[in-house]
Amino acid sequence: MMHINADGWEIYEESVRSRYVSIENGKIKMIGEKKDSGKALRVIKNGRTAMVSGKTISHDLIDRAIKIARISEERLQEFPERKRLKDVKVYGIKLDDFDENAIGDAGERLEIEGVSSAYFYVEEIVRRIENSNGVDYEERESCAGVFVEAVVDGGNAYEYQESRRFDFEPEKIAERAIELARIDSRAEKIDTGKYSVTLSPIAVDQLLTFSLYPAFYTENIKKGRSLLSEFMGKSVLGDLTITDDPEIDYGINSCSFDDEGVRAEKKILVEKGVIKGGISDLIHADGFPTGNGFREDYSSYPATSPTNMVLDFPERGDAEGMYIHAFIGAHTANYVSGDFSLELMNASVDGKGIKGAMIYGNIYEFLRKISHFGRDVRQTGNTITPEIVFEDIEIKI
Amino acid sequence: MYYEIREVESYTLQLSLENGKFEKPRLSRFSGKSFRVLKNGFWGYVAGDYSVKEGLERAERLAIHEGNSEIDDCPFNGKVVFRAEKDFEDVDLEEKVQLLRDVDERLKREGVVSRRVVYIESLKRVRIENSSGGEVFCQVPRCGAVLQAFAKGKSLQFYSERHMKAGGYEIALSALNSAEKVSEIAVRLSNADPPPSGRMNVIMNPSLTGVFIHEAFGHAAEADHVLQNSSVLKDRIGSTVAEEGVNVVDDPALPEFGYFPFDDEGYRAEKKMIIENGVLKSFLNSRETAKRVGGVAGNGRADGIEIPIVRMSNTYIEAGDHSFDELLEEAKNGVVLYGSRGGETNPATGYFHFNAQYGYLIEHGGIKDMIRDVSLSGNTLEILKEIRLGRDVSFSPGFCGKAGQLVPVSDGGPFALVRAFVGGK
Repeated sequence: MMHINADGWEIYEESVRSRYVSIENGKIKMIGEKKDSGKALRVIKNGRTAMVSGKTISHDLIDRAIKIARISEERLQEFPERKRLKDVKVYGIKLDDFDENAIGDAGERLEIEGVSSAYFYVEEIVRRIENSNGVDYEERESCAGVFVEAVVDGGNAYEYQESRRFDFEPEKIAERAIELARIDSRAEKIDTGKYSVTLSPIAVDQLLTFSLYPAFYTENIKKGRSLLSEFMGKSVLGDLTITDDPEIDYGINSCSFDDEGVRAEKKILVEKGVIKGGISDLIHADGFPTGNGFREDYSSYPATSPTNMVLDFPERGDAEGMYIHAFIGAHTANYVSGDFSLELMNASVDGKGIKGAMIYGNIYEFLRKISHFGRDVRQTGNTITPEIVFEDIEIKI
Repeated sequence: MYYEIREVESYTLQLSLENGKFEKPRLSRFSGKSFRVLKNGFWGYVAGDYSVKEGLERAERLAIHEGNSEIDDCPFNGKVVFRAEKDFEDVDLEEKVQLLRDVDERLKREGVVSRRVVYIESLKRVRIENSSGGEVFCQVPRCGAVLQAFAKGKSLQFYSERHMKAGGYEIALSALNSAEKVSEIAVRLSNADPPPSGRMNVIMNPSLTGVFIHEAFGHAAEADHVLQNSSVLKDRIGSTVAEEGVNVVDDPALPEFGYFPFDDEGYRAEKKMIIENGVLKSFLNSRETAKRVGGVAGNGRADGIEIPIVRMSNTYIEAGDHSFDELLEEAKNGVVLYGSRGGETNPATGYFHFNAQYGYLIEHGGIKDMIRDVSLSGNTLEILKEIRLGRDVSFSPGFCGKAGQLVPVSDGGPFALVRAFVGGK
């Protein structure tokens, strides 16, 4: 261990190994593999903190970190203490079982007419975090995924699936994308008006990721960038329940500790419509981090992020009315006000595609219009949800 | 067999001031290598810290199938080091933080509830050699600042501006001049109302025109989408896709945020006319798409050691001959929209959607009330058929995401009058 002249330090290390295959216009095109690793050092000097990163942490980098920390106003008293971690299963596939032949075989399963581009990958990540307060955790996790874009007679759609295990059939994902593209190729204009609307799990994730989840970040609440400061403890979201749960075995964002060495734990954020709490990384937590400090990669600064957002609602039933598979431009939603206006992608009514329609509203009003949930739960991105049916939603052409 | 070896080194320093507090200082260094081999028309790609021999052997081992890939393997040789006016390495850390403080001071205003100023400097060095004898090296510094103000009035709103280019500390210094404008707009925006919705006349400001041409048209002109059969422009080379007089250009040689002298496939970067006088002249190409689709390579770009894919650089619509007043007069009624909060497009169909930062109603050829939370959508080719262009082009920087990779780009254009769908209440 090299000497670090600081009041506190933390070293985060990430090693990624992956293998993948890509498909272009129905034909396998490339097999690739990646091996990358790096480290990030954070130091605390007089209650101030700074971060540096690189392939290795050299003496020069340590010096730069301390120099920056001296004038930093990012306050941090100490890094987390060691705790007993919960046992969560996150390693479900071995990369070594997917050599170039096996990856190639998976790619061939996607050589289907109508697939314009696709890829399949298997990845293993080892995260390790060590700090001056006794934390020394390591977790090996796996991920496999498939992403397919389909074009049929000028119609277009995408579909994807990610999992900690290889528990999906790539060709099924491709067939679904092709079917949606076929529906899109015959899309027609509809009339502006109010509809019952069913959002697919993908659409729910896209909408909530950009218009709602950041409102739960303690940082945004404290800095006046979230309406939840007004809504805390109040019933504002109908009968909806939202839980941030990293403890689900094989959940895509499950983990036993976050990227700052804080133990990951389940938290209820909304209970039957009542706002119960937020999520936070270490820096913005006022001493009570929730285990939601994550790094996009080893060189990014830890920031608040949800783990697995589990949605629940008392009523279950079938999809109804207009079905919306995805949105275009979901990242343009405004989480500060909750307002969004989005273009629909692969929307249909009774199997007939809809062309050029838009949905707009405010997420807090929108979530009060939930009629019921569907039955088949799926994880896409940060969200675990079935389809959700809304009533009385205005669609504009 | 064709092979390529790429070595990348980068350095980034990011300093943020949040409500006057110097937070999240971050310095990162990266180095990595990638190796790729094209054998029997099939690619093997390896990213990792291997010796040349091991890296190429691994890449060749992955190229086990047969495919129909071919490339333009034209070798280029050269070394380009971009010289900044004021090297950011010669400026003390304390001085950079003080610049942020000066900007932050100017962001303060009654009604502003939250402020953010971010300073970014980065340096990227790339060396590429290939089996046909090419070897290039380039070093490009980029620098700048992002300003953001949140204001609370009738609603909570934010406005932000980015000032980033290839270059040095001088770019970040230029941010000082726009701080007061940023906070003023945020405050006015917080008291603005949502726009009416429906199809109407829209004047886009240069920044929004740039995002439009990048998102709604540029992506469809990327030839990998043509090979994937997922571009609305497939089979359209030589045909009229825009109104007469419309010229669309991609030019990596401009010293804007998307500048590069050689692309990440070691191909010389040069200006491309995508649309000339309304006619689709060429796609943007990598070495592979240039060979298979036809055209000139030089737009293969990569994020770090990821695989190079077809990307834009500095993309813009050339100026037309309308003054702003003439555009207003011609619009008569509608909206004028400023800035972008990002957008997305579907290159397969030409449908796009993006959000402007703010705008104004146009009534009887005059500018009226400010509007907020306004989105714009439509079909690219329909819009380009009827577009009126203003006289002055300016550029806005951004990071463009494609296939999970982010690269620096800039988009530009003049004020432009189009007919599109505006979303609001």
